[in-house]
Amino acid sequence: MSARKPIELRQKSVLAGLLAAPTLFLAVFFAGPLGLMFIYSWLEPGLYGGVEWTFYDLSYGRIFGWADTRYEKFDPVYLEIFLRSVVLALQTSFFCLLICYPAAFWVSRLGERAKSLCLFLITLPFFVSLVVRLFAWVLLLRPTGLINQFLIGLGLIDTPLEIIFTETAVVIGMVYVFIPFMFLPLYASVEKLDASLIEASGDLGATRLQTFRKVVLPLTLPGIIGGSIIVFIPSLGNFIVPSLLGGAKVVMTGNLIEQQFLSARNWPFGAALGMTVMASVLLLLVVYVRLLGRDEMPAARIRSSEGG
Amino acid sequence: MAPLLEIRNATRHFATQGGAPVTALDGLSLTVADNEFVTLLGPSGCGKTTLLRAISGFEDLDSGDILIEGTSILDRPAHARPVNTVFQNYALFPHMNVARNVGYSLEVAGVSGAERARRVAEALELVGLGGYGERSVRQLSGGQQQRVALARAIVARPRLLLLDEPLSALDRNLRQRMQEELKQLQHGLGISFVFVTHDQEEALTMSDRIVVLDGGRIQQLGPPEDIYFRPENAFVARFVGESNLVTAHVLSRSGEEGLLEVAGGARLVLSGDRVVPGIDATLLFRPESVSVASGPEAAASEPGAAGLSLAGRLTQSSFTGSDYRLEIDVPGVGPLKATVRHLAQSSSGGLAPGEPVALHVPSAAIHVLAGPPA
Repeated sequence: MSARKPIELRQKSVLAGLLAAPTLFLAVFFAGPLGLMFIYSWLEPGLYGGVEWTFYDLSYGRIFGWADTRYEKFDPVYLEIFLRSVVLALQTSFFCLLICYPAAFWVSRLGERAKSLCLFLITLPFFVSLVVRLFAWVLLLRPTGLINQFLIGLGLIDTPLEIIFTETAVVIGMVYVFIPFMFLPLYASVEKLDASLIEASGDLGATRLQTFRKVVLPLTLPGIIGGSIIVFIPSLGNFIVPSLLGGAKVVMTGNLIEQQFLSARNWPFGAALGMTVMASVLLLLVVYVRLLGRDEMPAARIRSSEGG
Repeated sequence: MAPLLEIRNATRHFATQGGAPVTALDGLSLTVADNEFVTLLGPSGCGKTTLLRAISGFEDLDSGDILIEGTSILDRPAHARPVNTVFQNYALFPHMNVARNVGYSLEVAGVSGAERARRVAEALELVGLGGYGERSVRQLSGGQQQRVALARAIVARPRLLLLDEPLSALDRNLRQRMQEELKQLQHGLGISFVFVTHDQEEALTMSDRIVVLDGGRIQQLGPPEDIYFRPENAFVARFVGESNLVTAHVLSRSGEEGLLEVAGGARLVLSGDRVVPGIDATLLFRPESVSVASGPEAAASEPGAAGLSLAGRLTQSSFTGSDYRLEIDVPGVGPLKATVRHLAQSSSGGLAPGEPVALHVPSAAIHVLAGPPA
């Protein structure tokens, strides 16, 4: 059978060949460690680091309400940290969106050469180490930093603003870091938006606001949601920005996980925290896919009714 | 009473990369009456789309004015102008179904749900898409999308509908059917249509009046028959239909009639104001007005018949289904085109390239152009 379909066979084997390397790589280096972490999160932490190979659900208990009574009483501090991380990640996504949405429209209206230049500039920060760039923000934000000196010099304020080592500094830093992640998917959907649809809407009597609400926003929504998710997920687990710009005062889930692995040597608890973050992100993605899927439903229904 | 649409001295230049600005509209004036089908016809870059976009509110004028029923609409944004447009690419909203697309202008105007549904159904019925309301626009064929775009533009009953090459993406059969339907729809609704096209056949079929544009200026304005049979100048003659242009020198004139001589020596008598002794006149005749006779006996065709008689040699002949299209080289005049129903059978069995033929064009089929051939 397959011998009589040499073209199809060849296409399939090429496809398999192309997929083999990434599949193997991800299986070994992504699924492996992840599975290991999942197992660790259900094991008892060893007294001096490492794990005891006995089932132990109290790492999750420590987060959700049934702590190991031998050592401590339940304290919802981890849930609070997690919720604060969610709030900061949401704020980061929101401000990234606020900055990138108009910018994406502006860039999409430029000529071809200016467009490519802008897209290059957007990715330019990746060429410099993240740590170096964040230390630059420390110089900008600290009490004797450029921003405070500038404002004092203008006579707008007398005493330096307390920006560094606050949640504000963390959000500023994360917005700065994640702007390219928001911009690119947003730009892709804005660029695809057919300008004649905006003209058609105006021609049919819609004001600019109506056109935005009824045509522009719905058609760029996939980019908005996509960009927000791509910013939200790494913001939620980020630990570099809060440790550099948040100091010891702002702890996010990412810092907590980092501490458990590197300082506290409580790998099971770190793994349990990591699994919790991942589970909530996955939940979010499922909701997103469901929301997107709902749009396609009417069309699918008509197709199936025509077929039947 | 002021005309429905009046364009006064519209002028528009575009800057280009090279430096020299391009003139899209050059002091163009035009009026469109109620319930009229006016076509803007011209090659690409002639200014027809710029004019349409200036009316709908997407393009500014450098100078001039656009008035609807005597009131200038230049200061009004597109959404406040009482015109609707059928776009070349239809510009249907992909995230809305057919009914919401059609009802969009009612929706933004705040027309209530029940009233809106009634008028949407009515508009869909008008364009032959009754019952398609719930479909997604992505599932429709090109012709159906065209009809949705049309329904969407007429649902609010604008006084003036602008159509920007709406049929250019359709195949030939569908295009011809839509031409008839558009014409009927326009009469039925009593809405004035301003239709942009570069297709002269489309323009001739549908229009009450045709505006032939080139270089941002009106080359000729008139009913289709005038445009076709009595073109003002060589541009119109060449652009609309196939044409033969021949230069003739006017020898003398007596009363209404003048005696002309074409290159090569053939003479003919024509009447009209444009036959002025001493100057060269450009004669136009359509390929279908040329009669062709073949064979050696025809070469000495009688010169007495009223009209233009020429002798030449057949260079090319092709069969198009209903007709034969011939190209004949006439010494001193150049190649001429002729379209004939049946090829006169000569004793040798048919007309072959290289054979001598005689042409005759009756006086009534010869039109004298205003200017020299461009």
